[in-house]
Amino acid sequence: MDVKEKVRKNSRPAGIGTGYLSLMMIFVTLCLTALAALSFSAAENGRRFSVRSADYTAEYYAADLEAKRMLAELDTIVSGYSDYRDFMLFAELDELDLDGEEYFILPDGLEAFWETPINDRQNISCKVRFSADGFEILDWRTVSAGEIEEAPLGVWLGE
Amino acid sequence: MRSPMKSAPAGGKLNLFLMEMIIVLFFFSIASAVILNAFAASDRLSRESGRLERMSFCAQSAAEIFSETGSLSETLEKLFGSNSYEILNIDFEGGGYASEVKLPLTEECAYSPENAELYMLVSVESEEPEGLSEMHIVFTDGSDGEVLYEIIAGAYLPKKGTVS
Repeated sequence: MDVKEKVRKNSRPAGIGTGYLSLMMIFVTLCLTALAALSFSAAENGRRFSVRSADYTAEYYAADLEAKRMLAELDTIVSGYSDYRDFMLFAELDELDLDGEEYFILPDGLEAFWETPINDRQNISCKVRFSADGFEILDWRTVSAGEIEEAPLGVWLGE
Repeated sequence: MRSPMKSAPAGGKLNLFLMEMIIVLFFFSIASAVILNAFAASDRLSRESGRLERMSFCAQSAAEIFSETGSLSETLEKLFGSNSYEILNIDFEGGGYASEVKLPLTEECAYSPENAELYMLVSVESEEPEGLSEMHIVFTDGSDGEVLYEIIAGAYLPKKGTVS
């Protein structure tokens, strides 16, 4: 037996063996699946956030319009009176049925306070002063609806 | 005793390798199709949410400008620049008015009559000249007319009123 034949008999066959391809395929598929799941989850979270943000914007401006409608109605009523102590004025204001409305008679005008709900968690709080010159918006902001309940933590106080 | 696998001739090993490759390619192509679909769905969701965000910002800007100016033409000019918008105006007999305009927009919510991917329909209505004005904004898809987003806003700007 010559040297060339010995070398050919001892050498291993070229290329990869049986099973390596399957292992590589499983590994690559698992990696791609994980990446696809992550990207889908991120996109779904982004979409949910966008929808909530867009819905909140629509809710806010609808509530803002409602608050402005109330302002217009108040302005129409109040501008018809020069004496803000007139009981007929308060009778008309009561008919408006605003949320949490309060009225304060001032020496030179009338201050009105009311809230318009945006959703079940937030309101637009409005405070407007009416006088002979017209009205002035003192406060127009988003506030939390209702009171936040402060639940005490169950901490042992050493008793 | 030697195993039949090891005793197989070189041609048999090659056949086994080819058979494995065919099976692997078959399963990989099925898995790839599913995974590519998931990537495509993610891309579609991401585009949709981006478009919704832009529409929301555009509507919000329009509502803010309108609440300060109370005028549709000024709102459009400040939002999209001084272009020639085809505004349809109707004056009511009682003193009120209504205006309407349909704006062709790109996906980025830029005014573009040549490349309309979205339509923004803006209508303003007021029962009194200096009373409360309502603005209704509706975004529709450029191809099938599906309503994508809508918002309603208002302005109350009587001359005597002031904002502190």
